[in-house]
Amino acid sequence: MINELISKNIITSTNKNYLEIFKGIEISMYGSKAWAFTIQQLGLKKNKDYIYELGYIMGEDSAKQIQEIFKKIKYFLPKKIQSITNLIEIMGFGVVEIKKYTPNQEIIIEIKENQSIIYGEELYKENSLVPEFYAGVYSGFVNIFLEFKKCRLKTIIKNKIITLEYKK
Amino acid sequence: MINLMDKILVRTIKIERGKPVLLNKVDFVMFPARSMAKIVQKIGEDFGDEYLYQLGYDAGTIVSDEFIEKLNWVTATFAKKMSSMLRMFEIMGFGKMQIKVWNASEDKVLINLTNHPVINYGVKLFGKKEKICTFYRGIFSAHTYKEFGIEKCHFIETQCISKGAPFCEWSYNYFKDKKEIKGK
Repeated sequence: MINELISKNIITSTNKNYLEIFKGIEISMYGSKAWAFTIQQLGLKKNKDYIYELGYIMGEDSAKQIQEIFKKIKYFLPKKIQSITNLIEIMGFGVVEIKKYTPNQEIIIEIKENQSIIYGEELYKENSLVPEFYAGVYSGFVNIFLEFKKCRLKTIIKNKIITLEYKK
Repeated sequence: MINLMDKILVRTIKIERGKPVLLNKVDFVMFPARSMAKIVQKIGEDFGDEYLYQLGYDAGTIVSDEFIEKLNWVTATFAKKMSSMLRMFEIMGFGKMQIKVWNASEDKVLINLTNHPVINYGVKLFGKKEKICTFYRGIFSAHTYKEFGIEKCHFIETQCISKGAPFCEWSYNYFKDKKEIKGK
C-alpha cells in the first residue's frame, strides 16, 4: 500500500527527509501505545473534557490543513469525502465508516482498527480516555469538512467498536 | 518517479487497514506536525516544563521498550542500532540528529538536532515561548538511556532554535558548570 501512496504522491518524503502528505502537510509519527499512555496521564491529571479539547485542537487544525491542500489541488466534494476517509485511515486514526449523515443535523461514525484506542483498552480497560481524544479529533473533522455548527460527538463503546454520535 | 528516500520509506513503513507500522512491528500514528505543535504547547503551558519533559520521557520509555522487544535490539550492535535509530527518527519526523560527543564510559553526550518539523512549527507559532523541544528532549533522553546505555540520561538544553541558535543542542554530563535539571 505504501508503494501506491508514494506513486500517487499522497505520502512522500520531503527534502528534509521526513514524511509529508499531499506534498504540503508535514508529518511527525508517535507510537500508538505511547500515545494511549500520554492521553491517559493527561486525563488523570485534568479530566475528560481536557482530553476532548486536545483532540479537538488536533482534529480542527489537521482538517484545516487538509482543506487548504484540497483547495490548492482543486478537489471536488464527492471525491473529497472519499479522500478524507482514506487519508484518516492512512494516518492511523482508524478505519472510518459513516453510518448516518444528515447535513448539520445528525452524524454517526463508526471507528475500528485505531491502534491507540486498542492499546488504551488493553492498558486501562473501561477507564481508557483515548476514545475521548478521538471524539475531539472527529468533532473537529465534522465541523470543518462537513460544516456542522458546533458538533460535539458523544462516544459510545459497544463490543470493542467505538461509535461517535451527534444529533442536533 | 520514486527517489532514494522514498525507497527507504517503503522499507521502513507499512500501512495496512488503518495502521502505520514501523519496520513491520511497531504501531504508530501520524500527526500533522503543526497540529502536534499546538497541543504539545498547550500541555506545556497548562502544566509546566517539568511535567512536559516527564511526559515525553515516559512516552519515550514505552517506545524504547517496544523497540528493544520487537526490533531485537538486544542482539544488535551499537553501530547498527545507532544508524537505524538516526534514520528512523528522521523519517518519523523526529528531526536530524548529529552526535557531537558520545562517551559511553563516562556517560557523556552532546547532540545537535535540526529539521524537527514539530519544533520548527513551535518556533513559527510561539517564538521564544515555544515549549515543544522540552517534550522531545524527554523522549530523546529516554531512548538514549534505555537503548544506548547512557546511565539515567536526562539531557539539558544548551542551545535552542527558538532563541536564535541554528540547532537545538542537548547535552548530558558534558558541560560541568551547568546544573542538571529536568525542566528547561
